[in-house]
Amino acid sequence: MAQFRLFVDSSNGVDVDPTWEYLEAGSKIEDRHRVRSGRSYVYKWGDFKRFEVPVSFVNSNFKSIVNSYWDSNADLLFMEVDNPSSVTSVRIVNEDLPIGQFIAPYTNQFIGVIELESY
Amino acid sequence: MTHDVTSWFIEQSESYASEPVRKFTLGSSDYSDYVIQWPTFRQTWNSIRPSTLSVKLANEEQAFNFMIDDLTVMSNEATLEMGYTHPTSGDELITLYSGKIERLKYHNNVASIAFVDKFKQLTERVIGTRSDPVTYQSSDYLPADIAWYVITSYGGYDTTASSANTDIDYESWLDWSNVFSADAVLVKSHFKGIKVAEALKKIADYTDSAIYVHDNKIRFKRFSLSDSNQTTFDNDSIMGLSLSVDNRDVVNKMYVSGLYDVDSRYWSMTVNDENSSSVNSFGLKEDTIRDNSIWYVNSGSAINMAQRKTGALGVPFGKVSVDATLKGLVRVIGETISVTDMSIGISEGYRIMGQKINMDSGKIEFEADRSYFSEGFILDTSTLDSVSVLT
Repeated sequence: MAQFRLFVDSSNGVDVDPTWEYLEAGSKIEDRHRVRSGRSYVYKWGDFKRFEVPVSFVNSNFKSIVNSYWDSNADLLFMEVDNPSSVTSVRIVNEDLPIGQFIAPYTNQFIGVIELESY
Repeated sequence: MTHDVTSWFIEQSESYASEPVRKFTLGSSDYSDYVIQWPTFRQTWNSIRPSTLSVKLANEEQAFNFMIDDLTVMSNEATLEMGYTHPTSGDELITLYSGKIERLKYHNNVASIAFVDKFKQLTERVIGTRSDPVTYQSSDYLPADIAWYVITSYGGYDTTASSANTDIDYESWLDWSNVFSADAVLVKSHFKGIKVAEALKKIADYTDSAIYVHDNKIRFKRFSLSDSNQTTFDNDSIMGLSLSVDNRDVVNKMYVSGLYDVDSRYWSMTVNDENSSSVNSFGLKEDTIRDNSIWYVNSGSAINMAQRKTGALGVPFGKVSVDATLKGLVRVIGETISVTDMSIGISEGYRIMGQKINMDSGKIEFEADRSYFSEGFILDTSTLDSVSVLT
């Protein structure tokens, strides 16, 4: 399973090992116009990426760092460790705290989903 | 007179799938990435009214609070541009609108900035007073010269008589002036306390001229009857179209008064021109043009205007409202377009008299009519680019 890194700079960040439910998606911002002949015109104004990164068995240090990124709307970078040439500028966009749930029976291991969007 | 773009730009604007670029600049800073909603820009050929539009900007980072702290930035120039990014040579953009900040509004995390264009200053200044009128009666003047004096001496705009003028599209003014010069159209004028914009509107109406803002400069044009069609709009570029013909537009006998005496408030000359074939077809439809701020000084000048009106308005003319794609992005007021629409069954040329560009969705609406149009040949740039043959 690929490993990712979510980081502020070279010395501040966390390594992320997502579960199988990891999802990479994207959206385009565009307008489509249908003319009289039936042809479709599409004007693409921009796009953005979304990542759903489920994590489990993360320790409280990982939880604290990620949750603090979420709390401060930190500007982050996200990349696959094996593909460092492709780095995406992201923010954590969870509506609620990303990580906060224990994994039974442990009281020092956590589960959560980190939702990222490019900016 | 049109936007100066490359053939690559034209190609992109006609493409079925393109990635247009929009740019919002305030002062010298690019704030495009903050725009939440791009405005719709409207313009007509002779309204001489300031065009106001509003841009909504994301202010979560308080990026626009600097304007509250320093209100002098309200005099900064804002520019809205649109175009395409060439893979090697970078952005190629055309300026759709320039203006200065008129209003700021902050609501929650959205900053709305309203801008107003070059005509605004002309609505804030007056020319002459009732007791101390401004008169141009010492000799006979070309209408273009009166407009120049009005805009520069009383509107406060640049007086540079060259293409370096920052407020007036000098080349268009010169072309406009040459039309009057060639036809020996001469006027005198007398302004006693009206707004400069109103004075300019009178000149536009009295000479049947287009005066509008283009590329942040005031541009002038007097439409001539014969012209070519620069772009063809057909089923592949029209999203919607309406056509109207109004018999009330017809004028086949035009009276034009001149030689106004300011003291006695009397026009001592009235000429007329009649389009007899139009009268035979549609009945007599008369109209009068006279003004006590600007007037023709001889019958030749007045008859020129009368003939122009009866020639252009002698028959009912079609007006179309065309919803089009960005194919029309480079077209400007005064240019002519060929419109082919199978559902209404028209295929003919029209002159653009107004336009509405929705920068948010990439739709353009043209108001165009055939009042100053005679069939020209079709110069379709896409045809020209591909086979270099005029059709």
